[in-house]
Amino acid sequence: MRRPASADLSAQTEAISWRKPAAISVVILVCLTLQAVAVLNGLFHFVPERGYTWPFLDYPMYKHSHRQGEPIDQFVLYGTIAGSTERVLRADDFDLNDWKFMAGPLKAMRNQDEENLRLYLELFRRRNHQELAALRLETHPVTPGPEGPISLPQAVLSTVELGTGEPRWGKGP
Amino acid sequence: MTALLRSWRDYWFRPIPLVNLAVCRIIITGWQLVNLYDVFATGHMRQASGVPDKFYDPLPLLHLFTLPFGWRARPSFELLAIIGVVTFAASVLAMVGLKTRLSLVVLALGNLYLGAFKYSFGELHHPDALMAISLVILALSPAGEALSLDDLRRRMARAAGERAFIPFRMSDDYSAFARWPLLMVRWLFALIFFSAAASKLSASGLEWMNGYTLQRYLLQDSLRWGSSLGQWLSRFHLPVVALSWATMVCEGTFFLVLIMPRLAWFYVPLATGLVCGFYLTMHANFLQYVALLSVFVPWSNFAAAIAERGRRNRRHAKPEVLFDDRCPLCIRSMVLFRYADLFDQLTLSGLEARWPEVATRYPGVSLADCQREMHVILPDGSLARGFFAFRKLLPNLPPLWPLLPLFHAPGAARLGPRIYRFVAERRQRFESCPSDRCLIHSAHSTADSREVVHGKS
Repeated sequence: MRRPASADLSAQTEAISWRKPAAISVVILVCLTLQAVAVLNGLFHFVPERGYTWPFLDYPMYKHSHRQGEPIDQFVLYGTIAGSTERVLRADDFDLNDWKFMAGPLKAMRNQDEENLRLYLELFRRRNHQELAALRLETHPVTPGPEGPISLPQAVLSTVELGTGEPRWGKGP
Repeated sequence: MTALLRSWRDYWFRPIPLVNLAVCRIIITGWQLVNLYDVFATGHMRQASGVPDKFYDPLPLLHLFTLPFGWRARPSFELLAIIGVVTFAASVLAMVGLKTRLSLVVLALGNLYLGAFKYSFGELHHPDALMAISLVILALSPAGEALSLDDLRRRMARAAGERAFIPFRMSDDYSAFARWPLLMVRWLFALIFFSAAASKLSASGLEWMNGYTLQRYLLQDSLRWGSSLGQWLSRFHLPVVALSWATMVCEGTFFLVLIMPRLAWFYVPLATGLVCGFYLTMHANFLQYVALLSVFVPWSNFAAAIAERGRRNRRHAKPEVLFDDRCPLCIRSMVLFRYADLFDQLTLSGLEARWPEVATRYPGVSLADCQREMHVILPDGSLARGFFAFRKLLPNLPPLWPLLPLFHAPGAARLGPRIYRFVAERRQRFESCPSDRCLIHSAHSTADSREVVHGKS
């Protein structure tokens, strides 16, 4: 449809066949319904799991409120390579991105989830050709302050010794 | 019922300039091009491929894609890389508008596949979702019918077929199917922002705007992802309270732009500012929204306003390109110029009508000269030819701006005219046209071209 008469756009709308607009209308309704359902599900939780309708999602990020002085956990994972000294382990050591590192090794350590941790230890071994002898998860919490982040007391959340036998967990959450 | 259907049709299918949709296509696919490169360059896909099978939990959409290969079939990194390259290529084609419909479909499907795979390991992030839907919407729309190589080729073929350059303005091309894709993305934006605001209010109420909440998120994410700006901002309580309110107002009332489109002038800069601000301070990468917010901009009005301002501020005439209106090659070139002249900065004049006046005004110029190489009458009345004429025109042709550095590079003034002449002298090889009508070809086939051209004219 090209070069319409100056103000006769409504006449052009009248002129189009109904088939194509009808098909597009179905697409419009389906898309808007899926998005609206995802939004409502985020609010009323009538379907327990999120994400099944991807890319139609609800957007609940950063929704919880916080008070002054509340700690922000910063997890730090230390690893001891067999016959070596201890060092901080990062996402790259497991060939993971930061999100997968948080949801993977860090979460497995927090929950003392041996089964999942072993899978990540295998990733570490493949990546570094080294064996980990021990792991320690600490939190180094901070809180916002007028002069910058204020450090709060650090704490060990979990430790594990990885020998030839069963892993020995310590200092649980 | 009829009235309702009529309102529905008038709302979604009212004709609007195709340019509005086409500009969004260029911006959105261009942005996605960078995004796709980033996904593979940062190694996210390779890393995801290496995650143990135990954590692989395909999204339903991925099941649909991989169903022929098994319910839990997991693509190899090699397959992902191939899909990535094809999707990247489709993105380039969709942006420049070559085989636009097909390339948009491939881009939309490839993007859905890669996105669904990326989020099939338990964690789920939001920035890609709206882009994924928008690309599908674009693929179903006539986004390639303007500002595309497809459209340019169509126009050139038509002009060559008609053997005449018919002046046109791209903003005059309307389509009844150009409006719904833009409206759809606007609606999705409104729903998404509403979801963000409603989640905050239902979980925290007005407490969310106490400042400490956003201070905490700023510090948490800036420490996690390494943003000194976020750490710095998290120190200031009152400004962060104001930012919290700005966020809530923007998200909670964004839907008003659907009712009052003029409010876009308020909400679009606000949303753009917040998205950029959150990226700079928290590395929350919703920058794709900046590209998607282009659906709110009335691009054709924008171009018309620039053209109008140019017209009002212009003290002299526009640069005037003289072309042989009987030569198909020249006609095609003029189609290209008009196409690239987005803000109506040029006058294109056929020699047939203009030659008597030009001959009087520039006695030293022959018609054959004008046919041999491009001549442009500049606003100050001087005449530019060939390479230099083209160089003078370039600033008026935004799509050709990438060529500017080349035309002004050291040595370009010496080398350029030679290349121009080399191409101009051989252009009949690239073009077949009836020699009895085309002065260029008849001139080249005659010993004394100038005399012949004068005789013909």
